[in-house]
Amino acid sequence: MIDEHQVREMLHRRANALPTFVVDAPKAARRARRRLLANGAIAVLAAAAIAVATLVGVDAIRARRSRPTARPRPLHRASCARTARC
Amino acid sequence: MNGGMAREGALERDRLADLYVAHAPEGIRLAFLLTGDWALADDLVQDAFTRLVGRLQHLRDPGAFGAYLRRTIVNLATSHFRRRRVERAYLEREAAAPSSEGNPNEALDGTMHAVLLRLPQRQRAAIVLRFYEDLSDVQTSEILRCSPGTVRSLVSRGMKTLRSELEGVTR
Repeated sequence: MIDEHQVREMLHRRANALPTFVVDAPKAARRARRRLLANGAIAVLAAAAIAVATLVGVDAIRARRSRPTARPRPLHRASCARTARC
Repeated sequence: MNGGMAREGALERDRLADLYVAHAPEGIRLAFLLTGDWALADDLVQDAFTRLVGRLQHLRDPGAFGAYLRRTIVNLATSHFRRRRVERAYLEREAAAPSSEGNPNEALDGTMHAVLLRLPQRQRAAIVLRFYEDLSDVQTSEILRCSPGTVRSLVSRGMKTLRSELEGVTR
């Protein structure tokens, strides 16, 4: 029957079996800074891409609105008379 | 002006380095218990550290860096397994790996840890935080963003599964 005490002991033994690793703080800090800079650069690029896409989209919508609408073509009576539909 | 900024930058670097030296080993142990993989644990802690460094100036209580780091590690471990969706296969491989010699409890520890790693992530995190980090129900609930009652329930269900899975295993 496993109890809390055994689980607690197991967790501590497993954690203490950690191989001795070298904590290279300056390297980790440099890596963190690099990742922060990269994240910042990606965020700026993404924002720029979204802004450009928005402007292009708005331009496209405006261009479509300013285009004159097509007028309906007048019916040709002669051609109309030839067809059974008229 | 430039000298002052450089001095400030150097101070910040020193502060980051101190924080890393103080908290990284314990963070890696916690991440290992949650994931069962040293390399992954190391990566998660690096990731957690990077995220926290970005928010260091905005932390309400910079003195509680360890608690923030713990919470970030638990969240990253959760999202790692959620993202990958290979947890089961990975953990089964890990469970089948040969155990190291030297520790008389190694076999039982390995089995128990393997069962622990098969528990749902929140149950596992609750057990590790309660029994390894020795956090209270309230502290654990703050990290897991749930109520203390939920923590007790998670621990209870996790322990029940551990007991039933390890029923045939004796010391």
